[in-house]
Amino acid sequence: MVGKGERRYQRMLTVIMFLISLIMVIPLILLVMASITSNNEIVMHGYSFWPKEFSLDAYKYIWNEKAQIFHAYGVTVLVTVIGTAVGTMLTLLYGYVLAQPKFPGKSFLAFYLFFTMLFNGGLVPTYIMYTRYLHLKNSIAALIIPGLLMNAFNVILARTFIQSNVPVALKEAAEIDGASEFRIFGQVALPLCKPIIATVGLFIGLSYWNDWMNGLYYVTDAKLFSIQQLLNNMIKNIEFLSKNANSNINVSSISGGIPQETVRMAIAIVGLLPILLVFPFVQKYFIKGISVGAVKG
Amino acid sequence: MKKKLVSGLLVAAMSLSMLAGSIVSLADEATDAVLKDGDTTEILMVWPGSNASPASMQEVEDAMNELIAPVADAKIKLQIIEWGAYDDQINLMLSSGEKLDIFLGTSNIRERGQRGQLYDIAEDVQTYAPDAYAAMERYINACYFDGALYGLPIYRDMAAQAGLICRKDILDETGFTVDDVKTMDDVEKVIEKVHELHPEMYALIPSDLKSGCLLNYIKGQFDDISSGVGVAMDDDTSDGVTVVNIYDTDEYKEMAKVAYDWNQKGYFMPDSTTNTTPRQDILKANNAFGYFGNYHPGIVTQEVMNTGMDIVAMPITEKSLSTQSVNNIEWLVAAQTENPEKTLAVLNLLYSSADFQNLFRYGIEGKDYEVKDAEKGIAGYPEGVTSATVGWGNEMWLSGNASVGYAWETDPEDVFEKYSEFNDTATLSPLYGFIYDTSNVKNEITAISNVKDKYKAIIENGDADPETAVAEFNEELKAAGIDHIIEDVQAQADAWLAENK
Amino acid sequence: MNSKKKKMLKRAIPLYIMVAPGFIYLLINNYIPMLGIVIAFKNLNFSKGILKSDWAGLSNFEYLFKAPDAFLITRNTILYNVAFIVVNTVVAIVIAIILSEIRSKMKVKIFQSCVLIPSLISIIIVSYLAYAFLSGRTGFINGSLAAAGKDTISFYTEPKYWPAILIFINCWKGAGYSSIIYLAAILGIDQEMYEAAEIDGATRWNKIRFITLPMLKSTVITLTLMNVGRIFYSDFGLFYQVPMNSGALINATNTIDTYVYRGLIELGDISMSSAACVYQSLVGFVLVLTANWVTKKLSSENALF
Repeated sequence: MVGKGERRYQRMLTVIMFLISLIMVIPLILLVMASITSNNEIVMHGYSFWPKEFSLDAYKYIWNEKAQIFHAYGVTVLVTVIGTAVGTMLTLLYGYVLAQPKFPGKSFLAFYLFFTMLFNGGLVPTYIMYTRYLHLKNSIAALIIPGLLMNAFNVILARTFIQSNVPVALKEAAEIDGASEFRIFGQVALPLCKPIIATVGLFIGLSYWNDWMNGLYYVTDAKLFSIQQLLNNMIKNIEFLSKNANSNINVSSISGGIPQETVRMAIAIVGLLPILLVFPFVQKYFIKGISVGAVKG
Repeated sequence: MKKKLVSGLLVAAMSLSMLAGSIVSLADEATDAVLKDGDTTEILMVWPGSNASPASMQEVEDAMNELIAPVADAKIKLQIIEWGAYDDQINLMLSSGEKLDIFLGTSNIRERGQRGQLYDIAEDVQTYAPDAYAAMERYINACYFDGALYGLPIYRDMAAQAGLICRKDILDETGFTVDDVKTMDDVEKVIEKVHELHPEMYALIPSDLKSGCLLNYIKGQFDDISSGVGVAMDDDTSDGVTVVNIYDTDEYKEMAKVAYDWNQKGYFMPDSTTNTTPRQDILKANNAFGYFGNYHPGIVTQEVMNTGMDIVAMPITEKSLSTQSVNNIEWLVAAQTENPEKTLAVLNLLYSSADFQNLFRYGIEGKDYEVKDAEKGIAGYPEGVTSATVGWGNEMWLSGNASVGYAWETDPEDVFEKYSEFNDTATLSPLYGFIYDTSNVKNEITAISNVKDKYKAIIENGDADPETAVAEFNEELKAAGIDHIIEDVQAQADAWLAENK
Repeated sequence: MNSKKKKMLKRAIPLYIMVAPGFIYLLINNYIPMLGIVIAFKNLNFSKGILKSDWAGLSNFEYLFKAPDAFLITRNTILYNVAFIVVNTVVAIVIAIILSEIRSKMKVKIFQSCVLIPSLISIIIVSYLAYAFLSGRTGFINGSLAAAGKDTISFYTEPKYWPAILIFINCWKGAGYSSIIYLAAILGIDQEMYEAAEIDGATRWNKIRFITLPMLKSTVITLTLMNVGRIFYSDFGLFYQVPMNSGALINATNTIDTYVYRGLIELGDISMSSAACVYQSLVGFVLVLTANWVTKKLSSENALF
């Protein structure tokens, strides 16, 4: 079945892809090695792929903070799960509606969506909306709702996919059978949409996992810090130090004893690790979702 | 007729002074009536820290409330925001008008005041925070923005001075002592010797991240009013002041030459202008001699603590006090404060009550600190407590008036006298008390900030030929409109001098 | 006529219900706060409230145009974005096509994880990693050059390398992410089309050239249109953190966002930063409307609205 040419072709693809992947992964390896290098070596000689002096100080420091770090993981996971589920649903619904053939108000809805990609009121008004009127400050909802739940980019992706992959004929046939719009969406369209559900779900999930902005603006209570916010706080604390070091502020408590260079890297890994571990499982569904799309028709 | 008028005036004056006397006693009662009105007001106090929820937070809050109770019907609520989030959070809180009473302001005080985000305490401060006012009176003159007072300056190293801060062991090797090093020429001799003895070592490292090694070379010689426009500290005000572009002065050009020369000789750490490692970590890595940076009475204690090495410091540049160096950090009252009178009463405690001050700075006695020497007023960690495990701690420069509280054991015994002396002996800027209104030159300031980012670090690190780089720098500053700022500052300064001299 | 309209409306009601949650979310998250755009035209005074503050006309915008560097930052922003769009699209499509052609599911999984990794690393960390490669004192590239007996390159003081470096890093960070979109689109293509082509004797290249690429057209157009809307924006981290704010590089790395950031650090003026956003949005808006109009003329089903 598989010819010689095919095998050679596969080998060639593998080699090319291997090289591309290598470029993508090398910095990650550097990141890992940097996190187990001694801080002094980094200060003196920079990062290296094989440090002369190994040290687990960064991880020891993090381990001291384990209570907070595990708690932050919990917050991140909770926010990511809820946000992804709700967000994917909203996105799919909106995208599906926009993919329908002409109906009154369609172009308005499309424009209404698209306009949000270009214009925004800025941070202060949005903040006032969420804290003064919706009272979300220092709540889990504040990490989920602002900004990330549904964005125009993902909706348009969904619309484009549905438009080109859910045949109008199929829908019309269901309509003739007397199916309601909701049933058509649930039973005809959704099964065909698995690739885009997987894609959009992945995008939304990653954006929740990587988010620290909502935390920065809406959360000051350490109990609600997510893992990325912990990392970001630390990096921003150092930046603050650099910005103000010369203006008569003598911030000494920031660096006090922390191996900064390596801790920075170690926390980045701590933030990355769970995704790398979980991703293969998510990916199983992702690939499955994609292949279901592939064998349709 | 004339006599009658005079006697009439006398009577009037006498009755006025009597009236004033009765007002004072009335005022005390009136003050009490306002502060003890029976309603408990919550006062939210916010400042930055490295831990948003230290272990002793609740206890400190409770103890503070016990001290507040006799003075005012108010309860304090403490909130610490992490350094990195602090500016964003304060901006948002001020803009949204949510609950906020007192906070530590570290930037843009004037702009915030102009935007109506701060409360003017000029009228109330002497009534409701008289002790705090008295304690800071010497410096409060530098805090009136267009006649409005938004908060109180903080007892700390307000004067600006730069010096050589370096490792003692290496300095000893060179044969120089701390007392030998008084001028920039002395510094050069030391550095040269260090480079000779330890060519592998960075003789000078930058004091700040992503900046040149000689960033602080001309510190204290100019009062930088805005965007590099300012006056020389020794400008004689009898015939008015001369506002100049600091980057176009002989002093700055001289610095550029020295920086270039030292860089060429290999005294500087390479890549200083892109360095992201704090100076303490570089020193700790055991391959650097020292840096040229901020000098103040607590510098040695601070740097020893941060580097774990034996550090010495030698003041070099002029020591001077400018408006900006006093008012850039203040405890401010937010515009949305519900009850400014009680808020001021709380501030008054922070600046005048030893117990309140110790609570704020060191936490709970017996748990977070203990008194080591009651007579001299020295506190330290209890057995088994370290800076890493302690449940509370704020630094002096944000503690209001630390001088009413205990000194810390690692500081010199007379640390507060040293700080007072440091500030009081500084050269006063000819424009001390003048606050520049930037409204007319906002466009120029934005353009100039960009130009500064482009040239400043490179020149101050001697990475570029000083002749051409400084000239180019100034050309671009001119194109960005620095002359306009000079004119504007000059006009405002002249007007201010005419009014205040 | 009237009854036909009624019928259409009636049929659309379920659609309205379906779109309602998203509609309301956008209203709360985007439209109501959009009132805040007035800040750009106000002389903000919070004691009067945002809406009642005095009007400032266009004075908050002046600094964006009066600056001597106005042309430079606009040019940089646009050129970088155009390069990003082109390079990222090409690389992402290449990765997606290769992944779709590889038969071994195991390999696809591994490769896909690999190309996604860069998008998970925060840009500040990326700036440290880039520094590890490029630094003059300790960088790998200079280490290798020195070992090979060649002259070292001082990357952080030589602006000429930076367009290439920034385009590379942006592609490195973003291409894997976009490739997912294209992969989903490719796998959504009807397999029968390929089978039919195979029967007609089409080569692999022919299938890619005449089936896959044309089928990706609508996705490419959609993504590009969306990117055009953001052509006046730039990733602050990429242009500020990654070059380490090095003064010598500013002519090659200053964009509208970094210019505004550097400019407003001292003033902290909310109105002026808001004005910059309005300016960026407005230009993007006009460009997208134009591009969308052109798209509509050429292939109406691909237009955004």
